[in-house]
Amino acid sequence: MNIKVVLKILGTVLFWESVLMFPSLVISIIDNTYEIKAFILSIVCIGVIGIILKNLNTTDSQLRKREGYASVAICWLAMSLLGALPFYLSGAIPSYVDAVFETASGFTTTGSSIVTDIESFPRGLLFWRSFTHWIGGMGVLVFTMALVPSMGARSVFLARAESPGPSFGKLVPKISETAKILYIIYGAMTFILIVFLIIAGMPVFDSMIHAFGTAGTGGFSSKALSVGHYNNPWIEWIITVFMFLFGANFALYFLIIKGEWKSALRNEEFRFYGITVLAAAILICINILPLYNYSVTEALRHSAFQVSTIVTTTGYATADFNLWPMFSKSILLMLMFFGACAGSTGGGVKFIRILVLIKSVAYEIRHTVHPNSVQTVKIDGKSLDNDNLKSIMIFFFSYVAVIISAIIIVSLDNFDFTTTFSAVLATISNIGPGLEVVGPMGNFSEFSDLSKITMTACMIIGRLEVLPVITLFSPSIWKKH
Amino acid sequence: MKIIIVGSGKVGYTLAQQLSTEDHDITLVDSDADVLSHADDTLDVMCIKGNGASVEILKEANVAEADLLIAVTDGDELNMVCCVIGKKLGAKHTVARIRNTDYSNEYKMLKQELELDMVINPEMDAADEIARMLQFPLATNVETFANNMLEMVEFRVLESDRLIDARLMDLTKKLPAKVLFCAVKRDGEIIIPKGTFVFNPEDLVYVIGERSDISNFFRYMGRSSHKAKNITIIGGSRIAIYLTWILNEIGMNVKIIELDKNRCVLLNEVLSNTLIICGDGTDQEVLDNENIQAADAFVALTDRDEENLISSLYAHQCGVNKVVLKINRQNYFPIVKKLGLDSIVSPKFTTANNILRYVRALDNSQGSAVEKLYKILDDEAEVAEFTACSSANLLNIKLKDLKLKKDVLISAIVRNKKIIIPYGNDYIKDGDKVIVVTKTGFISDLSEILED
Repeated sequence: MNIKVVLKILGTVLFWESVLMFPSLVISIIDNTYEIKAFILSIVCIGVIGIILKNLNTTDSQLRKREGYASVAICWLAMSLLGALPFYLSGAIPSYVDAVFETASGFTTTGSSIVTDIESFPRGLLFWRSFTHWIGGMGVLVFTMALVPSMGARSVFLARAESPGPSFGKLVPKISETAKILYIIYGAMTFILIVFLIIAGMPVFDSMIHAFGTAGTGGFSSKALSVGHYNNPWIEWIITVFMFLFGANFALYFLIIKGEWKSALRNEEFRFYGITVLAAAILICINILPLYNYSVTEALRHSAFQVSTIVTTTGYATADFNLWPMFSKSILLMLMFFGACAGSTGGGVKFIRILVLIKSVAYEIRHTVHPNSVQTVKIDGKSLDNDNLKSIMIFFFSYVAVIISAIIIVSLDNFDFTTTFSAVLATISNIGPGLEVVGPMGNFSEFSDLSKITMTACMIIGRLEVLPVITLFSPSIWKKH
Repeated sequence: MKIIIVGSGKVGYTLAQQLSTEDHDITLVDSDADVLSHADDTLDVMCIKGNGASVEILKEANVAEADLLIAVTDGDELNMVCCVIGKKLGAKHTVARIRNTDYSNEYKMLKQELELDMVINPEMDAADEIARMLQFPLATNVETFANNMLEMVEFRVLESDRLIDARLMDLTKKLPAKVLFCAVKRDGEIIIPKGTFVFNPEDLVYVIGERSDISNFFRYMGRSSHKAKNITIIGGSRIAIYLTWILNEIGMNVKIIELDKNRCVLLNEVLSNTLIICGDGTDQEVLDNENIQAADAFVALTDRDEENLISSLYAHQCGVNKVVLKINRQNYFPIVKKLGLDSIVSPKFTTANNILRYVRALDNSQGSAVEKLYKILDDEAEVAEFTACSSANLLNIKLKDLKLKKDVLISAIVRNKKIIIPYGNDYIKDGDKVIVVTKTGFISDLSEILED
């Protein structure tokens, strides 16, 4: 592997990370709170490292698949380690492991928190914490690609490793243009959401925080009770709808902008996603009716919000679903596993993969009944070749394998099974809250450092969809040639 | 520009590679998933799998908004159909590769009836290039500029040349001819020579000037510019046929050695005035029997790179003045050049270059000012032809007062059909054609040669 190329990319990414810290610094200067120094120090520190690495001299700047994958994994790791500096240096989160957990949870748009008293945080830190969601949602490397088009043709490997889903589809021939379009759509939708929230009656600063959390499908809130704090049906419905929208493939929005409504709505993954969400919301609504005195509007408001927040792996909460019946909890647990759509900002296994797996099973059954039948697994009318199927199955297995290994490590803390299992699932699927101790009203502060480190790793592994991170552990990747 | 390339073979891939680095939006269409995934991995282009002549695929490639459709699949007929449909669906310009000799006399009609903007025939282009090389036997490579008024010639410096051990500034004073040294390649490094530069043997040098001046220059160096008269070709491929046609027209004698008996009969039908020898061109005995030592030039055009190489080496060793060989694999170029064989032709490469020139000219009519762009010295330096317009901020300033970027050289100015080889006191006027050599990379506007 050509380490210098990787470091150069890391430098560019860190440089932009320090630039992206400026808005938070400005807010803390306006508020004149205690974390100003921490921000200045972090910006200088990250910026200097970034500039030094960026200007490394390399003769061979070829970026192959392995460099692409390694860069993405290393960048995300470094971003989380260094992005934690403001929390740690300001003393807001005294333990560095905790600070890294919180930052990784931000960048990977997980939204799991170890902070017990979030409302005491200064606004600068709150802003940085939520802004990491927004940056991480669409991806930092995609962001740098939009800004630095000179990263070269091979940066497609970076985009592939970073963007969620089995394949990275270009919208237009140039990758930097594609990245730009994605960010423009992303930014515009976020802006519309902020405006809507303000109109619905949320304070401006809170609107931004919650818009970032929704757009990145992250889930950090500035309130202890999350979105439930406002107890405002308008706000909840707006966020419900927008979470759903941010959980869909952004390529569809590009199609809609181009005026191809029909092909966007005909997209198989989107249909599957829509139907699943709708069915889950209705089933849970019926199941929880008794809890809300048989008021359909109330029950639907809560079930729709919770389904939307879990399926898109956002992790906001308006109700403590720990108190809901087992059937509802099971459905939510299933949705945690599914995750959002490919090409969205959400995490999880992704609907497209589930769809392919279901179709493969159906195909296998048909093949058993009619052994000589010839068929292929088709998505949107196009048949998938064996390589695609293989990579989806390998992904699925490695995903499950990581979950199992993480559960074994986390179980050393001796929490009950639901807590342990849902904590790991919530972090690897980038959701945020799990069940029981880590439920929507609880948090992750009670875990040991080992578990926190494991779960931090889970978040990054889940966000980058396993393989880019795992390849780092292959000894042959580190060899020079 | 938005460009659709149908067919991701060698030519298609090379085109996509070059054009995507020149900031065009490229969509590549091919029916083979493997070649597409290779392109998708290595190039910044959009790839679509499917038949390029199908309406559905062309629509998916957004042909209605395409400025240019280039069809370079293996099938001539497929390329034609693809271009016709593309044009009907709204592509502004179309280029088709048509290589079958059967069609070679019908280009005019094909272009008209199928509304093609350009027809390319790799074999014919390669034959053209070889013919140019044979006309200038001292040079390893010849390019023309400004409607063929200017020639840029590549040659390798020899021990015996009168260039050695003189500084460039002294040399230019002594030269009887008005030529300019544009670029030198030494030990793999490209140098834009300055006044203090001293030539070494084995340097690869580019000079620009009028044809007569370049001849004078070669004479001054002590090399006789004796024209090739008797040409031996091995391999009776399509290129050989086209080449023989051209060479016969300018009065050279051609002898073709071809192994396949049936092919020989066919060659004899098409080329009635040419001596066709049936024999193995890689066999030294056959070559000796045909008195290879007496040939002025030797051209190896068989289908196999290795055979071309071996027989060329033998001819070179026998003292044939000019040896040209065809090499398909581009990565062989440096190895072959090391062996002392500088005149290499690669039909695919030539084709790609010709299309590139067309695209750049097309692009020029849409705003940017490059009229012709050549890559020289293994793509490491560029020669670009511009027309100076009033917007350029370097008009009417003496060249010595211009702050040019590093490694940029204004190598010639063409004003009212007269060629000026510029010195410090010359200047550029509105409407001049300017030829610039750079190694810094793509320059899209004349003003860009100035230091910011």
